[in-house]
Amino acid sequence: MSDVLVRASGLRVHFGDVRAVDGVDLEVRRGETLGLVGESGCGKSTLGNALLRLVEPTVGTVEYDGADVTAAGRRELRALRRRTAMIFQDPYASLDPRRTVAESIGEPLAIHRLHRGRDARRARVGELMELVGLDPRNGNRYPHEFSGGQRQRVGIARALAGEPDFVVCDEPIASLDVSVQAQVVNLLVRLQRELGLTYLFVSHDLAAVRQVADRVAVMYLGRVVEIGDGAAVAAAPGHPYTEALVSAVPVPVPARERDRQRIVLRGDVPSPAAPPSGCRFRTRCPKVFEPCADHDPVLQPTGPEQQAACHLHGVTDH
Amino acid sequence: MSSPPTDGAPLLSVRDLQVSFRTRRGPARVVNGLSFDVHAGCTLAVVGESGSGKSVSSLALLGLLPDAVAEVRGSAVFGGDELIGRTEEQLRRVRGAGIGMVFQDPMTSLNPVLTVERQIGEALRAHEKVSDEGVRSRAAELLTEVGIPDAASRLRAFPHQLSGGMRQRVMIAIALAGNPRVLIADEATTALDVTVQAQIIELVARLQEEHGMGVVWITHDLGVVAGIADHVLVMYAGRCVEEGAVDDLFDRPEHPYTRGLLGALPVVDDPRPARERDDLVTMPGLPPDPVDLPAGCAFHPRCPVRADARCATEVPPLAAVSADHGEAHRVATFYAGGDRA
Repeated sequence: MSDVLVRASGLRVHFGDVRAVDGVDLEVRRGETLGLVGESGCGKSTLGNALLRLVEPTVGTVEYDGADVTAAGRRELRALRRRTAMIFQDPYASLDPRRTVAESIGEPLAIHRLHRGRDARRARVGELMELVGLDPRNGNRYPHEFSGGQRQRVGIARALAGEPDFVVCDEPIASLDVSVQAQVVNLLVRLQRELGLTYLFVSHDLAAVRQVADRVAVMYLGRVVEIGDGAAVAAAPGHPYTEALVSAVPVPVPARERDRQRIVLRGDVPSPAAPPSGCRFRTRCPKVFEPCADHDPVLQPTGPEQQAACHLHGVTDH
Repeated sequence: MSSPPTDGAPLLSVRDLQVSFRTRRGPARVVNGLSFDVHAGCTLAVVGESGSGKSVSSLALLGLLPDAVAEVRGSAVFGGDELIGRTEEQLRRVRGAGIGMVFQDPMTSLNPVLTVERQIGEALRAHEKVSDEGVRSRAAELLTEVGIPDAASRLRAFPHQLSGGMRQRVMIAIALAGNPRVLIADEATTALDVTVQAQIIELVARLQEEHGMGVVWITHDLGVVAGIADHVLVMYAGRCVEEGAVDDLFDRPEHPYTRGLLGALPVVDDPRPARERDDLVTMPGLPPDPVDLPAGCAFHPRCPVRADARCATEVPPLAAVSADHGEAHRVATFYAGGDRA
């Protein structure tokens, strides 16, 4: 068994002129949590969707457990759907308001013909509800009767119904209050360890990603610009964008906030329909130098478990 | 930034502010006796989660809540004038010229069919008579002041042609148009990316320094608060449960709710790998329903301490536990300084 569960190679996802994902090579290792951070429009959600084959790659391949699923047919896709799952940002939008939560949680069981028969299914739904900290007696209630945090638990139970190996968590805590975020983060961490899940944890929140992820990948304008051990990436970023991102995340300690050297980036992210030549970050990079406009950097090692796509570590070309 | 408030009189002084909304189920008591002062050149951060009453308070004191649904009581004195109970006409003079406000979502607070120039122009004309050329040059100055390059061409832009960070800069330019003495920023960076948030925070700090404004920063984000606030006020169920100088409050949080909020935050520069970290601190349950507030301390059903029999029957008063730089650190519990979990 290879230790890579999901692999993307040369992946591009274009929507018309918009190059949402534009040349990504990425491995998700079995049993790890890979955090995927980046700001609005960097392509992180599209990348997550593409790894689950929820959007079609324009170019490149996606392998799942050693098999190329880029061109998978209906039957293969159905098998892939059972082994993978997605937890969405907004559980209110992702749950059918007219179905009881037990019906929503049980739906994947029906689709994948698991735990067949009414009693078996009801028992499994109860088990799933308990697993995520919901009282199974509330299964016949509707989503609007639950709080935001409870609804996210329903979304998690539904995602886990088919016993997936690989779960993409797409901004799972972004719409929750701080105290509820902590509950959901703890739950996701516990479930991963208990069930041996592999996560791609997509978030704009680097502090939350550091709390859950073993490794972190940083995206900017359709590319992974840095990837590596979470602690190393945060402590010694190899890419100037990561450096700016880390320095911009507020720390809830006033004395540390006052002493911090914040790198404030100038200007806005360029349009993903017309990324700059060479390095995509060069138009805002405080460390831009001569090769950046002409050469498109590739990921190269900057530490034992860390790679960054920056010419500061030697000039390369994509 | 962390200098104590000046000794002078506050610019804005709010006392015992109460707001309730009429609902079919009965009055929703959203703000239940809030008091605070805003001083020139200082930043007051008002922290709380959804439904804590933090945003409603500022809307109430500017008279932005419709009388048909909201009942506002208490006092808010600005520049010697009482704001609560004033007519729309009287309040209009205060809004903008006295107190400027920046909201969370610039896309919904800006008018999508008007150019940037028209919208800044409206704000300028609300307070003084200005010619068209006067509006154009003053609007361009304001855009430059909030860090928008190429201001002359941006004046002709519509909001959808601007990025989120740029739109928030336009909102700040509009708020500055009347030269306000107090700027209220209500979750002004919440919808923005962190690097853009850093730009906006830097901008507001610079403007505050240049104009000596008092700033009220309403947010759920304690990280942001740690970086910008002089004084912090934590709200729960429409009340202040704890307030103090920023260092005092973060270093020595007294209220179990404040402690819970701080413990719930993951810290980006914690060097430990994810697998060696402790679980985040969680608080059981949910904030109370404002139509059906619990008796006693509103936090007591979720409180890990609940060390006093009075917790379930009496509302604990906000009482001083210490003073830092002469600024009182106040907390609303029955057992501050005593036994704690």
